[in-house]
Amino acid sequence: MNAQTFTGGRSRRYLLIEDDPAHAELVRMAFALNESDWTMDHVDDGEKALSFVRREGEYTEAPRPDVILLDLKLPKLNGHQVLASLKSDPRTATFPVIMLTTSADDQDKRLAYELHANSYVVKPMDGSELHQMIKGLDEYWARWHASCPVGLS
Amino acid sequence: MTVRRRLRILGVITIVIAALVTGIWVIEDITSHRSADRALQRVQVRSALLSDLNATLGYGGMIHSLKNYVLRGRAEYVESFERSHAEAIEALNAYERLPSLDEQERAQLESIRAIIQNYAAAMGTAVSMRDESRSGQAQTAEQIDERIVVDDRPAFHALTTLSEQRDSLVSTVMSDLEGERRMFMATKLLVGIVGAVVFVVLSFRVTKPITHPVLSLGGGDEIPADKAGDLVRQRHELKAILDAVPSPVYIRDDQNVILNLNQAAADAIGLPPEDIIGQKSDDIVPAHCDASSIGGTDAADDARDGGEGSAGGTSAEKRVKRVIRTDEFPLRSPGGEVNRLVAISTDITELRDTERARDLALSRLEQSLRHARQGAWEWDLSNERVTFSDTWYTMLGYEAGEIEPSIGSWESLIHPDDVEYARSELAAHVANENDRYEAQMRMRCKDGSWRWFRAIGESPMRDEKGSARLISGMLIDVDTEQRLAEQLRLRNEELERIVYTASHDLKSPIVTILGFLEHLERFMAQGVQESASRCVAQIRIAAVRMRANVDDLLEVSRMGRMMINPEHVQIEEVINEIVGVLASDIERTGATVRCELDHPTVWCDVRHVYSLLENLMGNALKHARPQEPLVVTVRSRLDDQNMIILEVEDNGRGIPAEYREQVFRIFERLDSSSPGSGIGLAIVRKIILIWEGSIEIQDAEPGARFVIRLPAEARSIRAA
Repeated sequence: MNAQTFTGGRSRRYLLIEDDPAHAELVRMAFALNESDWTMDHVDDGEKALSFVRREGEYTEAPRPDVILLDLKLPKLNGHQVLASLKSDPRTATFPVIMLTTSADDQDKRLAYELHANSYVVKPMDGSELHQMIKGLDEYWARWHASCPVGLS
Repeated sequence: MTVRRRLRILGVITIVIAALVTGIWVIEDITSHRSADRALQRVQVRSALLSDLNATLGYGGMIHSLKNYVLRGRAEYVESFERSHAEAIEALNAYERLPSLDEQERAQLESIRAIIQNYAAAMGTAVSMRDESRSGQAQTAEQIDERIVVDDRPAFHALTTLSEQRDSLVSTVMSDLEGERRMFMATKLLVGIVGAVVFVVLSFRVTKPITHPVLSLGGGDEIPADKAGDLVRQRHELKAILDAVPSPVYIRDDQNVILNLNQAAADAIGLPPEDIIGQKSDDIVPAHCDASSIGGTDAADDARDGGEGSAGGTSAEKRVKRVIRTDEFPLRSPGGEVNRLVAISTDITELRDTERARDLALSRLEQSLRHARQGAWEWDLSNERVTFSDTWYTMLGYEAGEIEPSIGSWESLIHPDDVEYARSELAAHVANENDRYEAQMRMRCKDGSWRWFRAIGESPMRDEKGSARLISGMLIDVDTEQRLAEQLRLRNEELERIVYTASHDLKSPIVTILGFLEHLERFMAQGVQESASRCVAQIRIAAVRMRANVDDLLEVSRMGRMMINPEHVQIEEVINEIVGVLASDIERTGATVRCELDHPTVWCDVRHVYSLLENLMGNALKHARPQEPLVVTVRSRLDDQNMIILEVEDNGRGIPAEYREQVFRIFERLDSSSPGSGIGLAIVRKIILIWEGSIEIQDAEPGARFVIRLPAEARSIRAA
């Protein structure tokens, strides 16, 4: 398995698509500060991300993610291309995708929303800010997950 | 005596009387006819003598010869004068001998004789003055002319009066004849009736056919009297028409003798028409007119084709060289031979000047177009005729007219990627969808290179449906502008990419550093030494990466800013140097480097060639396939468009078609596991941009082939 899995309890399963290992580590650490149930899978390029979600190639046994965290700048397929593929495929179109990127570029944001991204979050420069953001994000999805009838998530 | 006998006697007497009366009438009829004939003959003799007098005295005769002698002084004119003089005296004497001459006629003849004597005296004066001029005392024609003035008006008045008397004689004779004829007819009728009623008349008529009276018109042709008036009128009308023509018109025979001419021709020569008729056109040299201005086909200024002669003449007043064009039409006589010419001369000086001014303006226009790097073109759709100006050709490196001018041959020069666009724009303009035709296109020059041109055109004429009938326009060389614009566009793109990349790739390590600093503080406060150390390590990695990114950005920027030094770089020397630098990598991967250099040099800066080949060869070494000996091949050759092709080919993992554009972007890497910062191919592209070349990635099956095209010869290279 090429994807790394961090486990912090049960339930919400995140897929982090991020090529920078340091950033992946920071996101993981921010999640780790939350005392809640979460699981995180991580892949480091666009092609691997699509294979993971489609359970193709080496990812035939991959778990289904509840929420996808997607970086923009990726080798091979970039974030926008991955997003377009996910949202145009009926099997994956309903997966919530949150763009998590350093780019604050308006054009990047507009294109992401045009491609039906569920949210666009600019990575905070400050560490505690990143922690707060991840905390809020996880709490939202925890509530959504709890209220959701079985089978939707 | 019986009644019957008396009747018989009476009858015989009647017959005798009738016969007598008839005989007398017949005799008288015959004699009266004879007298009329005599009168007619008198008239004819008068006409002939008058005609002789006219000829010997007037035009072509004494006066004419005298004038010619004064003008030219040749002995032949003296001879012809004396001949005419003798003939004139003879005709005068013959006239005076006519039996039925009246007093008035005698007076007229006397005045003619006096004038003839005056002319003879004038001729004597002229001859002696000519002799003086030969012996040294120069006497000009004008001076002689002044001395020998002869008032010839009385003579012509006399001739006219004599003609009128002759004419009145003619009409008298005619009416006499007519009256006699009527009387004779009536008598014959009477006699006929009497004879038929009373007796068998043994009478007969002695008569002869009546000849219609004829008029001599001087030319010797006999024309019936009832048509003569018409002919004279028509002749006058024709003369009036010809005299109204502003161009000189004349008829000459094959001996170059002028037979007739109009007023304009006489004006051009400067003599009255009477003085010109009968002269050889070469002899008519008026004081202020070049002989060649009339009839001369040999004096050439602007020789024209189509049987037209042209002649140079000089106007004395303006001293302007006149250009005369003479068109000659051979005239077939009723006998079928062609021995006369009708000549029409036209002064084409203004036309010639206009043509010259037009040619000058055209050549100036051509010159301006050449300086402005513009060519003119025109397309006449009605006959598919296309014209290109000389500059149209020279801009493309061709000789004027080297290519058949047509829309098809134009399109054959347009770059395949542009031809469809150029064609559809032109079609839209023809169909009136666009007011103006404008298309930017690459065209192939004669040397095989491509240049950018802008074609513009407009239709001054459209048919009733709006379709263009004629399009005229310009072809403008915009290659420099276009190349600069293209460079500017590419560099702007590059700049935007760098700014965008900087916003991500330079921010990314900062996010890392600040994030781990936060955790570091927390771990230090908690005293978790191991976790704190991990944070510090991450911070260091991010900082190092950031420094590398900044260096890379500076490197790309430097590549555009550095002073370049173009030269014919020996490719093999550069490869040898690179092989030396990459020796350890080559050894580690067991790779083979091959050179197939068909063209030994490339026009470039040696540092750029080094950078190009080092990046491409270095990339090839990084992407070897496992368990496959790596072979890197460098090739060079010159293609038919004067571009040098440099290829770096490997048999490694290759680059999928969908990533062949993004690999050239700065900080973009296909494989985050392989070493490198994503700067190498960005630098390669920057160099290609500077040298106005191109680069593409092809499949080498297996492996990748980078194909670089660089111009073989220097254009003006501008640093970025």
